[in-house]
Amino acid sequence: MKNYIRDNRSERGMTQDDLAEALGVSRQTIISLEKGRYNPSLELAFKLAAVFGCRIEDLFDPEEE
Amino acid sequence: MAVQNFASLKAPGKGVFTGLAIFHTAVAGLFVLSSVLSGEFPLGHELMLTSMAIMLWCLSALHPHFAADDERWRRIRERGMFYNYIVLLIFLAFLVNVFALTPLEMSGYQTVSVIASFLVSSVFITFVILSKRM
Repeated sequence: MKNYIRDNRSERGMTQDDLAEALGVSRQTIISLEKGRYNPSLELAFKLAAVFGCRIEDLFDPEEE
Repeated sequence: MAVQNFASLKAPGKGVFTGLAIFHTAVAGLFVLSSVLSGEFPLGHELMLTSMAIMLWCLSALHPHFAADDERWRRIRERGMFYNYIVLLIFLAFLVNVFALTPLEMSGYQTVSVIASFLVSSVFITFVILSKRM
């Protein structure tokens, strides 16, 4: 599943460490998410959407590989 | 009170695991060397020490992943245990064939040590591989 986490993070001037701290996960988790190697749980997807102030659909694209 | 104190303990740092890994590698190396030189390899306990050293090196490599104890680490653990279930079954089938088809003889203590060492090593090596891929 393609995601736009890196784009959203860069737009808000956040580092991977900042995002990891806001979500309560490790920086390695953020790296894996951004590289698309790992799909987050629904709970983490909601947290991501809350941090970026957008909808989950704006962060993840299930159609595109 | 004691429970509160225990809960407030922080996870050891990466350096602790690396230091313990170096110490265990040295000790395991000495035990393996002594059993090989005395012609009694494998005695059993040196394999356990070797697997402990492997486990500590893996924990040292895995430290940034498991320190946060987040959902990705939990998924790595779940997948790792599942893959190891299959790997252990294959290893046991191999071991049964080795005992049945070859003149190799091992005591119960040696056999249990070999299986336990393999299990401990393979579980943590699988975690390292999965942490690189996930």
